[in-house]
Amino acid sequence: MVSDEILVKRTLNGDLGAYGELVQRYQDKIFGYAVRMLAPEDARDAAQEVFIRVFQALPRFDFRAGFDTWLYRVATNLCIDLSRRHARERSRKLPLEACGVTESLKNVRAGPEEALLQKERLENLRRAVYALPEGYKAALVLHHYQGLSYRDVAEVTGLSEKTVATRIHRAKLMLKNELLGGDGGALPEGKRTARQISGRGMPVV
Amino acid sequence: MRCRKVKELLGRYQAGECRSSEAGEISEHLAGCGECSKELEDLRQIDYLLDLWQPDPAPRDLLNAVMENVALSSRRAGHTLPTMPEPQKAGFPVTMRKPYTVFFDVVTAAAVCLALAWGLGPRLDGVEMTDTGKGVNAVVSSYVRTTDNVVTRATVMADEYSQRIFTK
Repeated sequence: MVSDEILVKRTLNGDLGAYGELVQRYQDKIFGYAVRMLAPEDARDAAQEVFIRVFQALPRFDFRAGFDTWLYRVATNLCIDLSRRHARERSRKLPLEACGVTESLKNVRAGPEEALLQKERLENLRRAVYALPEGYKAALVLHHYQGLSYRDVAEVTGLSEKTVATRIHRAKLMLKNELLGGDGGALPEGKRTARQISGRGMPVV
Repeated sequence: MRCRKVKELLGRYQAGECRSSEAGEISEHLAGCGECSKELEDLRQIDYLLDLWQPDPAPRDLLNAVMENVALSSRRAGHTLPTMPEPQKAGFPVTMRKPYTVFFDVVTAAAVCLALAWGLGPRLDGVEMTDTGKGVNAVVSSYVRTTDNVVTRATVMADEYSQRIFTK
């Protein structure tokens, strides 16, 4: 398989097909990331915007970080930005079908009662994840769903590995508090927002 | 290891991202601490719940939509596709050397051959001298033939380039 960096170089030499290959390679990951970070109806447009911004900023890609790290950095900034912008605009109470989870429900091999319970669990989980502070949600989603190591999450978010570990841990405790009951993980009022990621070698997005 | 430290590292431990020495200490602590074991169990349950949420793949039209926008953006004035620097701007192809450098190589080769012949001449007898001379002659001839071909090709190309320039 051709490496991402080769495809970037080919794109820079005017080969749009090479960029198409990169988009194909990462579209599911970036869409999945956007679905978990944003209101579901915004995920498609957000994913599209990420790829367009990355393309336009490609000449400033310095090959120090991996292309995927850079892509996630742009995606994280955009998702946090959109999430903030839309937070006050709409209610999070959307039907489950709009959240892109229908496929996983189809795979549940259980009776109607279990399926209903599963659906309810998912709905609660989705609501709880959306309710997490942006910086905590980004760290958790990047690690748990996108499969990035703590070090990679640190690279994407510009935080230290220790802070990333703390954020993921606290995010899980907040989810536990919300979904399973308990008192762990609640944040002080002043810490419920996250700063924008400062990009090393990354254009302001 | 104390509970506070263990709880701090529990996430890493669960993700398998602890140093082996730390992992050993945590395992030891967990074996004797109900509270920390309970927290680990909670984290595992949360992971299980998180795994339930598997979104659908990207919409089919996403790739086309992105590529249409990208093509449009690259056509737009002031947003042309960035280009990498050209490997060589000289008129001659990268693989071909310029004629004057070839000429210097030929002169250098001839000088080396002469120096060898003069230097080794007094130490060799007549037959050896003849054999060595034939060998050197063969090497120089093949070198000259090759460089001659290269120079001819270069001249032809230079001629083509200049014709193109003058006809424009």
